Amino acid sequence: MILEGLLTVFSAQGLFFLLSGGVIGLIIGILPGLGPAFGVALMLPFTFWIPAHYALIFLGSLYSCCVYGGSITAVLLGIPGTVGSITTCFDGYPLSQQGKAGVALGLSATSSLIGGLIGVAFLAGLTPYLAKFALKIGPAEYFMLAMFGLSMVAVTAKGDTLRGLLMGCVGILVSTIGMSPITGESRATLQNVYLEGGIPFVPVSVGLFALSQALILAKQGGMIAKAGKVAAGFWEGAWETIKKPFVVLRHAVLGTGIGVIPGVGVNIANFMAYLIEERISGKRANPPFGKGQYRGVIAPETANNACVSGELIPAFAFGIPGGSTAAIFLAALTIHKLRPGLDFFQSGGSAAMALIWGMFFAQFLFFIMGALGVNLFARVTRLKNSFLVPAIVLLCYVGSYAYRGYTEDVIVMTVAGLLGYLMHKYSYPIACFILGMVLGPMAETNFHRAMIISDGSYWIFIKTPIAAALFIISILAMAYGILPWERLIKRKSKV
Amino acid sequence: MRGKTLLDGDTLLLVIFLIFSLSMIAATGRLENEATKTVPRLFGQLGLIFAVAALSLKIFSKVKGYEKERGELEPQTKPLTSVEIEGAMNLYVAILLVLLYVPLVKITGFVVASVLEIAAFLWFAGYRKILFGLLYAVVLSVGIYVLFHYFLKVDFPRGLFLLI
Repeated sequence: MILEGLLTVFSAQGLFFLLSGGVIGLIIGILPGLGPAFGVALMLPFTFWIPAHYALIFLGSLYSCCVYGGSITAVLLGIPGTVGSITTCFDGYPLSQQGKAGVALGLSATSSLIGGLIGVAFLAGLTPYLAKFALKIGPAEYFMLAMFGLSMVAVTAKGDTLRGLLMGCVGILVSTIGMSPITGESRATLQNVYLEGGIPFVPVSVGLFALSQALILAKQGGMIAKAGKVAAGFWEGAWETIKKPFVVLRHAVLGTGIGVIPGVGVNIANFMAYLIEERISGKRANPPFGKGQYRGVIAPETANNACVSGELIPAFAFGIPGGSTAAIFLAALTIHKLRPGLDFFQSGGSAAMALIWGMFFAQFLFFIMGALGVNLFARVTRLKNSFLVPAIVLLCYVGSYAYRGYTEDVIVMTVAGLLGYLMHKYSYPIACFILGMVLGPMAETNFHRAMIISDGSYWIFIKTPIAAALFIISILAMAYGILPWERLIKRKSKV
Repeated sequence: MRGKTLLDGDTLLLVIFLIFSLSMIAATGRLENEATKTVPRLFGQLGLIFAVAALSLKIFSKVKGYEKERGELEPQTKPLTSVEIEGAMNLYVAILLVLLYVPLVKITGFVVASVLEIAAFLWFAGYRKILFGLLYAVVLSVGIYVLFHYFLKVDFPRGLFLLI
């Protein structure tokens, strides 16, 4: 069955769908606002007429290359191409501004390749074990997991905790607009039909990260690469990544683990990896994080590509999607009369293996495209800002409009863009807003579910070992973020 | 960078978030079910506390800073350089065009609005090679339209005159 899957990928049709999925995925990933969920959903109807194994190769390749593609825009323009590459901007873009765009692209391509390969290895080899763990998670654990994510707000905003906490609250509040997931009652909709469905995440993130960046570029004038010259250095970046095996390994495992947990996707993997690596490296990092630190590109890029396979593990093993893109993959299985679970790996064996092999080779495909196209991509940074700004504005419009075809989504994107510009200008921790907006609904839904199960008792949130461990970690994270440890230690050492 | 004066973008953001938190708390008053209210009310109250605290700290530190400055020398203001003025002008033009873009697409359709938008921005940004600028605007707008409309089946608004 393994060999059958491999032969399917290396057939003429298999290679065609692997390549076409990869190119489309890369282009969608590069375009700000258009992410893997958009790409896979958009291409799903085109796979109706393709045999199941080729359809899965196509979608798997598209998904993998799309997540990698997001890092190209993040590095070259400081705009995340997808929500899974937000933190890649933090160090990738400063490297680009220093004229090291080639090195940054080498770092992101190599770490994505290794992270993706490790993720695929987990998908192929450890699915039953990880799926068993995922099954143990109930509403109380989900809630504590969301709380753990929210406690990261305090860590993210260390140094400006007040504004960070405010941003986290505003993010959660924005996520509560619309119909309540528990009672179906409308909240803060001003009797507007559009608001009934809630404020969508995609236009908000396009506005906050892409449109605001266009306004910053408009003000800057000139061109993006301040150094004016883009040096080559892809292989230098690749070598720098290989020299840090532990960084790559820990974030590949982290990314896969985050992907397995339903509802927590590439965006959280990207954030968590960056935050954790920043904390691990601490003040030893030279240059510091945010100023072009290599680890700041390697960690999030390894994690998000490993997360791609992680998201598919519970989807294929139990029919529980690890994220929105994995949910669309489940729809693809249904279309091709395949069922998730043991059945998928037995009766649909060649399709499952074709997908796994397809995703395995997709990692090499995007690496080759990144290596060969590096000079082409790097040229983007030499473009004049006056030419880039209207192009980005146009893509922001198309990205937020193509998402659902609503003009209201464009208005939401515009408002988010203007607020995002001010937030960037006055150094507000936007990551806290995003964490609040993503984790708010998850926390709310699971809190109420857990309360129904426990008949109103709060003990359920620390009853199981997983929930208790998450509770303790959340408290520690909050304490770490809020308390001025540095000052306390200094004072103690003086005494 | 936080502003040097009290009335800056930072204060504007804090006031916006304060009003938003207040509005969300007020909106929960109309809700019937307790389960629907819990999260927006709790985080509305927390948001309000954080916004008020941040504003108070800012006002306090500015007043303190002003008194300190008054005791020493008059604060000196640097005149803006021509590059800074140009940057600010570009920013205001970009904001204006972004705000005008959505209604313009509704009136003229996607392609015409995009061509006008790009050409106008290039002109205001100081680009004077009119022919190349127009060519760039047309190629980019039509290229995106063709890619998304014909290949990805996205239906763009056609405007009042049913143009593309």
